[in-house]
Amino acid sequence: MKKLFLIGISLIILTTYPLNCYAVEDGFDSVYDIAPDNVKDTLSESDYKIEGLQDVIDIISNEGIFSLFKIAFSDYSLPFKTVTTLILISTISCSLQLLINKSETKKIAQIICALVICIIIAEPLKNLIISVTDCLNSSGVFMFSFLPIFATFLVTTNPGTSSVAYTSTIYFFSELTVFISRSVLTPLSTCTFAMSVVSSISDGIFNNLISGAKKLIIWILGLVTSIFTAITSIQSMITSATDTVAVKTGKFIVGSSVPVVGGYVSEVMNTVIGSLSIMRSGIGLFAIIVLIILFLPVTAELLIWKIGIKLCQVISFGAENDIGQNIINAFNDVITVLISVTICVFIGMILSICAILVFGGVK
Amino acid sequence: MNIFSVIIVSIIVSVLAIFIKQNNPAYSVLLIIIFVIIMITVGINYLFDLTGRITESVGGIKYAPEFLKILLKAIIICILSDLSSTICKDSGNGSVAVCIDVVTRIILLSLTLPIVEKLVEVIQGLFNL
Repeated sequence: MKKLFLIGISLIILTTYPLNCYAVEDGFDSVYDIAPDNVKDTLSESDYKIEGLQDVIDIISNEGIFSLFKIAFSDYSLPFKTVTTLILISTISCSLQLLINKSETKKIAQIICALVICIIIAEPLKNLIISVTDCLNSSGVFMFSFLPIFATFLVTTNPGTSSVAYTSTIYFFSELTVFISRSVLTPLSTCTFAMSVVSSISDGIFNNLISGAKKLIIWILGLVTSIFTAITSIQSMITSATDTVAVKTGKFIVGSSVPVVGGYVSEVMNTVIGSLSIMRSGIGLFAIIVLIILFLPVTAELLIWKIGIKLCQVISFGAENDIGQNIINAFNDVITVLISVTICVFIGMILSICAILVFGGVK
Repeated sequence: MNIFSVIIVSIIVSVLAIFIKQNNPAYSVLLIIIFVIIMITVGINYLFDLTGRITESVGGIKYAPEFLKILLKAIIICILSDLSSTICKDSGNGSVAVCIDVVTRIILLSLTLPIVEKLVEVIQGLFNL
């Protein structure tokens, strides 16, 4: 009787609380819940009407990772409109050379042109900086909530792993990078732009300060990439042995086109590809999707701005308006820093998730 | 008025001015001033048309139409002052030409004040981000 009672109680407990399964289900639900609100909105408002984690995984399995591009991309007409306006002002500035004979009046007209260029650029720049800061904040908050859940999930599914110990280190570096990017690099590049504007109008009084600030930004970015080099020390575990032609070409393009952190990105490309191949399914994949949806629109917008500004630099090269050119160059520098920061943090986060996976015992 | 009319009228006025100058230099200057006013009126009509089109084309960008108008206004002022100052210098009134230059700069400063104010506001906003 006593044995039967004990077996009955055990059965009730086992059927009521299936520990492993419960942890896994809870892990999945929790991960979807902690995704930033804008990501959830983007997913639910997309053509796919995604309402849960399983929907995301189904779409990725059916249509591939590039289906995310359709979800993440939006309207990017503003950069081109602004660049067209800048080119127009450069043309007006160029025609001033012919219309006005007096050098003093010409100089005043050029300064007015430069001021208008500056006003037109400053507003989108402000919005861009706000988007990048929001993106970094959201990704930081997401990682803050995601990594502990992920580590718990790994421990539940692979008991006895060392992932928990490693998670705290990765977690610390990930948050540190977000903090440095958000609180130091972005404001510093904004200040550099503001100083460049003032300096352009007032015969370069801040030139030394600006070049110092630029060096500081590059130095801090170097530090951030060095931090993640520690994470890429697991490269040998993740990277596939073969280095295909496609990967080599990709590495070359990234190395030569991505500003400041291009070398770093090119170096860790194998690791990133390896990471993505490890995370074909499950919570890790969802984290990657969230990060892509967070970072892709911002990065795409920044790249479009970069292309537009390069175009503007090329077209207005003959305008002989040094003040306007300096302001456009300063804007280009800020965009470069923002691209570098965004790509650096994005890759760092992917590597963080992958590192925890590898140390959590996933092969 | 097309460019050929402008060229023909200019040549006629120049020849007339040379003839009048021999007998009565004051009337010659008057003729040139009247000619310049007519030409500026013609030119400004084209410039207003251009301003309208440019402002229309940058309609989607914040502050652009507003400040482009100021920019074009400043350019018109620069051209007009340049022309009038040259006429004054040619007629031997150097001091009037200098006066025109100074007044032009003051007007330009006052005209660009909204741009500078907005710029300071935007830069302050950038520092506060």
